Amino acid sequence: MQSLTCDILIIGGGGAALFAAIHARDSAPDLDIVVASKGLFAKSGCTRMVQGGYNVVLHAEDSFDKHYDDTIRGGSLINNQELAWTLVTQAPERVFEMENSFGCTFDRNTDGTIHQRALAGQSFNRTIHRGDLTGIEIISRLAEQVLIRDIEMLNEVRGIDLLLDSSGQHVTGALLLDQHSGELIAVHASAVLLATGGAAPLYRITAASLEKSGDGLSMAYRAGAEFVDMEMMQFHPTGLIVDGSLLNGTVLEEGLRGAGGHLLNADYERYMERYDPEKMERSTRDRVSRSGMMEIRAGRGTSSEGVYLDVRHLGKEFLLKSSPGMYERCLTVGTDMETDLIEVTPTAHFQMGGVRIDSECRTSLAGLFAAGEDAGGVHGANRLGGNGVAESMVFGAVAGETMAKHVKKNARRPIDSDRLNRLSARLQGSAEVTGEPYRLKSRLRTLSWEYLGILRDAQGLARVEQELNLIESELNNLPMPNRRGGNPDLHERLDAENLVDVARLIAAAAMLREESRGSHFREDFPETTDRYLVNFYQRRETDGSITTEPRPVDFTRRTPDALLGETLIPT
Amino acid sequence: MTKDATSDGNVTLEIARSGSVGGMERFVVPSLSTHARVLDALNWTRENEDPSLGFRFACRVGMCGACAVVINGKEALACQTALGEFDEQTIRIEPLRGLPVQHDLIVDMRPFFSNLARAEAGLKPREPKSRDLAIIPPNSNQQTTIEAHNGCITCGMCVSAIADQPQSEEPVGLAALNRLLMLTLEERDNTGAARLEEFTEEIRTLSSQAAEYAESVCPAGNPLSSALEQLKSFVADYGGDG
Repeated sequence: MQSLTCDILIIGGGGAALFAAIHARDSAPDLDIVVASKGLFAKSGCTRMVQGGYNVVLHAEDSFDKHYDDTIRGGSLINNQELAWTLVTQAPERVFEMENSFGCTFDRNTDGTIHQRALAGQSFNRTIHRGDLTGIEIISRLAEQVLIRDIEMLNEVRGIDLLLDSSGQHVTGALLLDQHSGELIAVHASAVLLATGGAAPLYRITAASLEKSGDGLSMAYRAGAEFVDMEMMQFHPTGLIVDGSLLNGTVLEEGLRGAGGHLLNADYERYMERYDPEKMERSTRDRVSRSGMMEIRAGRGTSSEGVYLDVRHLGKEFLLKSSPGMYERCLTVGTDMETDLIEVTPTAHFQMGGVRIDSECRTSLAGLFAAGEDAGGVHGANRLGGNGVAESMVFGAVAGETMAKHVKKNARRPIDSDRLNRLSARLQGSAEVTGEPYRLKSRLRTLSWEYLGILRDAQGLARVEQELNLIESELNNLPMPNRRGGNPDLHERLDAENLVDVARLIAAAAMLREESRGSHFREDFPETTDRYLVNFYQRRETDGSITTEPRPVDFTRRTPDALLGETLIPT
Repeated sequence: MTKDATSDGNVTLEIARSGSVGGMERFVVPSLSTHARVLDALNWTRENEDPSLGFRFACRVGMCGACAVVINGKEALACQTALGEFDEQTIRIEPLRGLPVQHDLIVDMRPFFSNLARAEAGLKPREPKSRDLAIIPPNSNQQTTIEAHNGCITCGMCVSAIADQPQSEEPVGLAALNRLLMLTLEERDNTGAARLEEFTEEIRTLSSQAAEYAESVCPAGNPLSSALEQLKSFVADYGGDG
């Protein structure tokens, strides 16, 4: 086992991780900063895949209050109000930084000013973007800023577990695994950031990069950190259907609905009429996804269990100008947007829940910080399109600065070596590869899609809990392979183990929320009730059980009464 | 699954293996779906034939470049290459050239990233504290040029494509040079053309044919030969051999 000592360890390689690294470096040039990325630096993770854009108040007629109210309404009132306020008020600072310090260029109007459009659930055109492939611009410029700074990058080195001190309350580093050499690396650090991204690939159909497996979430879970809102998982309404291909479920951007695209069932009815006659297709993601799934369940879906997105009436010229990336992507699967209906399915997209943080990205464990999808609370029960990448940039920067301050005041604490030895001993094996983890993970993803997804009920959730026990025991019974380097079979297994942990948290919280709110829909409790203006907080106890505790939402800035009514959507 | 290579829809993958397996290994993959990609065939092989097969991918939609490999002799993204594109029933898949192989189709990308760092291929801001966003008329000449060269996904295929071409010692590579061109034209940048001096010889040595070939494999459709031409004119004024 190798040992590595640093001040700040950042686990993750997407937007939140890179922003944190840059801000930590710039606010404390003397610190040792190490970034460990499971995939290739700046290539894994979902910042790169951002299409729609970044919500930010820049226009004189827009305001923080409007963006804030849209965000809280979109989140069905249970957002952490302080985190949401940080998101809204810091979003412009990060845009100025990305443009003026990092060299991003977002699309401009004909007069040269920045272009802003509206994604669903917004009362003002406030989404900046670069065509329909915004993420490439953001992550490319962030990556090069990391490269030209003195920041150590560990590529294809995954996090295994957090290291603690003997009290179990202070995080003192992490055990990492170099996926090529197979070497275990014990990193001793005074601050650790989890920015690995969420666990959308828990579901059979997902838009996220498939190597994401809730690693940060499960590491925090096993270390005993507190979680919030884990029942809230966002499904995007328009994932492209590509049967029998890994491309299945990749997202077609929301702008297509925003621009007036229609959703049709197999009988060519605009079914949103039944579910949200006022906003129709421009309703929020939670409602549109659920409506699509209900049509499919009612037997009005296509033969591939999808619905149709119809943008033919928007015209080729418009489509090529506003969504060239999507146009080309559809062509590669034999669908011409101008003349064909596009077969789409709801697809697991974004995890709203996560590790509970405060406005400085501190978690319940000292020395542990979280940002991006690993953190919960910003978006409540549903995230607005365009608020996700804004969250990663804003809280990535906050985390970087907080950690730099933390390190100045807190020396590295000694590592609990028993825990470290236990963790590393578990990864010593002698077996040949079996391929079995692929099958178990696939079983887990189908189970989650069926019973832990868009439509839930008590019976299905109970079944999930039973099945998770079986899958977990089968995983535990698999012998550890004899080599750790260059062994994708091992990673499939570790991924599946992590996803089981995340699924347990989701199932336990989903069971207790006996109502429907935002992305969480209980067929046995379809109404939204004020009784559940609560957040569910969870943690793993030392005996391995999960405690799930409701606490009332803290309405620090807006009461529910102040937010009555609906967001007016600009046309 | 049938392994009969003559039945309809099957394809045979010939995959370059590293380590103890070594050489080219053949796998017969059954018909997967109408629009299945080379990536799908690789994934099928890993899940059904050899769980240790090494290949990379992340985004699945051509945005990250992680799945760049050499397919039938030409650089391509495995996720963007349909199995149906090929007339031959056998598809040969090899790792990118010019970068050390780590495991089967996986190459070590660290030298590629190091070159971006060596070129200082990132903005050195002129006004980092500015809270104004630049007015950028979409049709200004400078902006049009910068935009034309934007969109690199750092896949490494341009480096691989010209790995056997005459180049200067330790070339920084076309991806980095292309970014330096953008930065040279960039009004928000404080260093500009000064970055180019160190790479004068590389720019002079590289042939336009090489850049054209690299351009032909670029998944972002970046006009790399035009980039090289412009860079050559920038360094034309520099004295000596750089």
